[in-house]
This record gives sequence, C-alpha cells and structure tokens, in this order.
Amino acid sequence: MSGKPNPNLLDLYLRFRWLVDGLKSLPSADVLSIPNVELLLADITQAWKRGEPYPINKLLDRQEIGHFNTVRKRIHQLKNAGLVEFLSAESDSRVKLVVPTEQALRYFEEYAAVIQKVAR
Amino acid sequence: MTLEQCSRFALFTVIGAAVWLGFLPLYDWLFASTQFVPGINWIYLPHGLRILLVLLLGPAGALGFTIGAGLHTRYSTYGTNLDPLLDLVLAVIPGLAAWFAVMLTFRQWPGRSLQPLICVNAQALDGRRLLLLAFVSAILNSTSHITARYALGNEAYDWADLLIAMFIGDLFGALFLLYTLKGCILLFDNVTSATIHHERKTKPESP
Repeated sequence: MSGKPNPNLLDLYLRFRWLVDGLKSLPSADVLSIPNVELLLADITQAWKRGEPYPINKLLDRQEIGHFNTVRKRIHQLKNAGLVEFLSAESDSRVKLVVPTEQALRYFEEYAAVIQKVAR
Repeated sequence: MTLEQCSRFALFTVIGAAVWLGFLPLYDWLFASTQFVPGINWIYLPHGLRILLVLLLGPAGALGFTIGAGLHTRYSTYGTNLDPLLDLVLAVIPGLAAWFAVMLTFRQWPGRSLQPLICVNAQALDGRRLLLLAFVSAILNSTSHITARYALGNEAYDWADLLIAMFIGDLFGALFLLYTLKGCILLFDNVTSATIHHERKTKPESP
C-alpha cells in the first residue's frame, strides 16, 4: 500500500467505531444481571472444572442461592441464554448434569482478562 | 470554513444522500404492508437511519438525507400526489427534527463540529441517551410533520390518528433498527471470537 491515507475516510471510520461502541451499550435485559445468576453460573463452572459437574437435583437443593423454585427458574434462564446445557450422566442416563457451554467459558475468559488488565 | 472542511462537508452530504437513497427503496419493499397512509408507517425504520446519520455525519448527514428524501419524493410515485411546497417542507422537517433532537440530547458528539474525531475529544456514546434520542426525535418529527400537513396540505382529516401513527412508527422504527444493529454487531463479535478461539485450539503447538 502506498500514498497518504485520506483523513476524511479515516475520520469517518473513527466516527463509525464510536457509533458501534454506542450501539453495543444500548440497554438490554442481560440474564447475568439477574441477582444470583452469575454466582450460580460460577458454581456450575467450578464444579465442572473439578470434574464433578452438578446433577440438577443437587443444584436445586442449594438453599443459599435461593428457594427451590427460584434456583430452578435461574437454571432454565441460564439454559435459555445458552450459558449452560444438560448432559446425561455416564453411570445413569436419568441423572442430568448441568455443565457450562463454550459461551459461558468465553464469558469467564473475558472477565478474567478484564481483572488482569485492572490488576496490571 | 476551510477548503478541507468544505470537502469533508460535501463528502459527508453525498454519503448521507446515497445511504438514504439506497436504503429507502429496500425499506419500502420490505415494509409496504405496515403503511398507514402514504408517508406514514407503523414501523418507520428510516427514522433510525436519520438518527444514525446525524450522529455520524452531523449537519452534513441531515442535509444529505434531506436531499435524498427530496429526490426520492420527486422521482417516486408517492411524490406526484403532493404539492411541491409541501413536498419540500416535508423533506426538510425530518432533517431539522433529527438535528435538534441530537442537539437537545447530546452535549458533545463528533458530528457537532466538522473537526476530525480525534480533535473534538468526543465522550463515549451512552446507549441510554440513544434511547432518549429516539424518543425526542420521534416527538419532534411527528408533531412538525403533522403540523406542516395540516397547515400546508389538504390532509387535515384525522390528524390525531396520523400523529399517533407517525410517533409510534418513528419511535418503534428507530428502536427496531438500533437493536437490530446491536444484535448484528454482537453476533459478528461472537462469530469472530469463536473463530479466534477455534483457531487457537486447532493450531499445533510449536516445539
């Protein structure tokens, strides 16, 4: 590539990036902004990372997160948002394990990157 | 105004007019079924485009889509039914309404001056303010449009219905376009990061 870049086009591109960032910040009903949902997702991911993913009935008993019905609702909200999925246990196909999806792992990856950036 | 600013203004005006003239026929074709009366639609996506053009290109963007609207009305079947004066006023009103709405809603944004973005120290665009802008511009545009039709045209019947339909159309059209664009941007970001993630995983480790 040769020649001087066109300042008008360069400025137009910068304005476009500014607008794109603004569009990204439009308010939306983010599932992770619901109380305790992020905590629940972190719990599910940690258990999965340890190699002991939570069976759904064990998660429902987590009183510290909320009432049985609340936890069930939150798990389904996470599933609908594509952050967790249900897998059958190898030993017993009737037992459903709650595991994080790639999207959830990416979320934590981005989160960790932000913390690292702040800590630097 | 320096030569550089003139050329910037002309370029941005041409871009505004071209984007408008390119988008409007596509919109007319896609949303023909949601038309209330000619010129008023229950979901008017071009109103969102007006907001984006003014934010991006400033007064040049407003002038651009005003010229685009004038040309479109002049050379489309819709324009042939209108009085030329009303036609001109209805082309100018949305540009002024969008410009005033942005002036009322944002204190500082790149389009406010003809200076390059790096010189004006623009603050980050707040999404909540963008929603407020959609609301304010919908009010300004619909009230001015219906007032002009009432004052200059012969379509004074059912003005309240026309006003409500136009306000709803402008507001929901703008929100629909803004959120569709947000969805497309997030989808693009997700696809890009998934591709990078996949490439990283499949890349053989160097010895």
